[in-house]
Amino acid sequence: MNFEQVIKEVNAVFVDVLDDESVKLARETTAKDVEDWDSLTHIQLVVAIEKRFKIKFTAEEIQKFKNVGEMCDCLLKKVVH
Amino acid sequence: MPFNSLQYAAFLTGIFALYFTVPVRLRQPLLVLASYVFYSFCGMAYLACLFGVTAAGYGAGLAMERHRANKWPLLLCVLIANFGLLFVFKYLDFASFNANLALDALGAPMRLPYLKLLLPVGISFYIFQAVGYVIDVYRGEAKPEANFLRFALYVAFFPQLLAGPIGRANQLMPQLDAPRPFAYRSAVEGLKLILWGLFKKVVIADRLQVYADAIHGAPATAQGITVVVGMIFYTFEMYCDFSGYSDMARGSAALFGIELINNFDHPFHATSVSDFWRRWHISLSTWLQDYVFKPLTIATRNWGRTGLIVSVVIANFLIGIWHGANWTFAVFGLIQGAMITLEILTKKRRKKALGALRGPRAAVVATLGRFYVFTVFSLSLVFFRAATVGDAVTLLSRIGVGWGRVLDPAYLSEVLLLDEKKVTSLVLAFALIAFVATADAVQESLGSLRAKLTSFSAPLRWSVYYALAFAILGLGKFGVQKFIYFQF
Repeated sequence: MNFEQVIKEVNAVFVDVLDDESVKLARETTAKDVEDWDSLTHIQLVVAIEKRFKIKFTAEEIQKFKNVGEMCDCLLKKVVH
Repeated sequence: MPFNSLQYAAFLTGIFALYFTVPVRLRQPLLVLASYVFYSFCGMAYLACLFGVTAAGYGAGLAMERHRANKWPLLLCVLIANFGLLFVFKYLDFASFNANLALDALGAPMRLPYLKLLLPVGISFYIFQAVGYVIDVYRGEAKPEANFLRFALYVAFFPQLLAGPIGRANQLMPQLDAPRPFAYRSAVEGLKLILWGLFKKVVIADRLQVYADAIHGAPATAQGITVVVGMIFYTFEMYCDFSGYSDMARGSAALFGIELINNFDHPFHATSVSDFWRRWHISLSTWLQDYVFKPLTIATRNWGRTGLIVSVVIANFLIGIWHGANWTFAVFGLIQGAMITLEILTKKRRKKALGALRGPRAAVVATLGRFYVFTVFSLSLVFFRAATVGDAVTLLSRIGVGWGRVLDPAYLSEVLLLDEKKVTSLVLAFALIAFVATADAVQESLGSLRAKLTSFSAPLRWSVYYALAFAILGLGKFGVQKFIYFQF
């Protein structure tokens, strides 16, 4: 799997969880850029991504994500290994 | 030395003049000294408390850098020391009181003693600010501060010392560093903020205060219309008092070229309670979000929605009791938690039913949303303001009383005309509420009026300043009413 595939899958999770077809994620996307992505939906998104990729983030990793790109990079490492 | 006193005006002017006269290297020490002098007006003994919190935070930050492997026990020590101190001053007597009630019920002969300590003003604010820094260093999100004076200023900077806004290391610390040249624009913006904040405090909040005092003074005999008017007035009193204070704090800091966090963002334009808490007392709600709510949701993320709801309820309960050791504050917080939970549970359904609406229909839904938020918040403030939960319930149970007589002028004048029995006072109070609500509505859609004012012609700009200044002098209440948030 490469970054493009990961972000595409993550995008599908966002569309599903936020119930919004118009979500278009990029590397620099943050919560500010996506309607309804707030502190409440944030954790639901994380859980849905963990389920979809069958991986687990550590609490520290989740705290540190600054944007979609950083999360996908972290995901990519876990999926590859 | 409250912001709405002549004493503070003299203090601020003096420090401002000194700051830009002394050599640049003395500016930081000057501000630290000024902040400690400022705090000494609240009581000399409390300086030790402020200094202790500062020293512990400073030491912990540096120690974490040196002993990277042992960061965790250091963090624990700092949390226990700070929250222990807060607990002793703020919550111990309340805990003893409830324990004594339990002992009473069990028929036990022993009683826990009360310490009756006076709460150091601002302690809940500066402890949160210092603890936030230590957690940031622990997480590697902030650099440990080696310069003690800069750290002391971070904790004690006088504009924010007594009631926030609670600053964050990464946002505030770098600003305390550089020798800042005098910035005319920033200083003028600061003065405008101070003027607007003072107007909201002494003209609006202090005028509305008599109404809340009246209903809460005698809840058992309150009339329905007084309860409703009292609730609306108290909600605006609280808003003008606290946002007025925050504006004055930000304005004072801006005179020194330092920008504090914006604490309010037109909260009554929120269409949900969750949205409201992103706009009201922002520095506290984001603090709790970053250090309590987020870690909780991460830890409970495998419990599904239950985890989210548990986190929401805990975080909001903490927002409540942060204000003080009383069940009234707990209920205030739990009401927010309950409504946010309800919003989470109905979110998808609401989106499906209302999400596609556009134009006037969407505007009607938004207006109803604002009405709902205002109603919930005013109701919760009844608990916030009441002496006991029982009083708040009594007051709310009176909400239906006397509506049959509201068309009788004699009845109305008896129950509504509190302030020296003058109709003009009541009309003025409503007019001021309408004024501040309109100012917020305009700014919500057009952006900051303060910034727009700069592009106005000088005569127009100065008429606005003079109008506000004369309103403060003519309509302001000067017995020096305390700011509500100084007690927390």
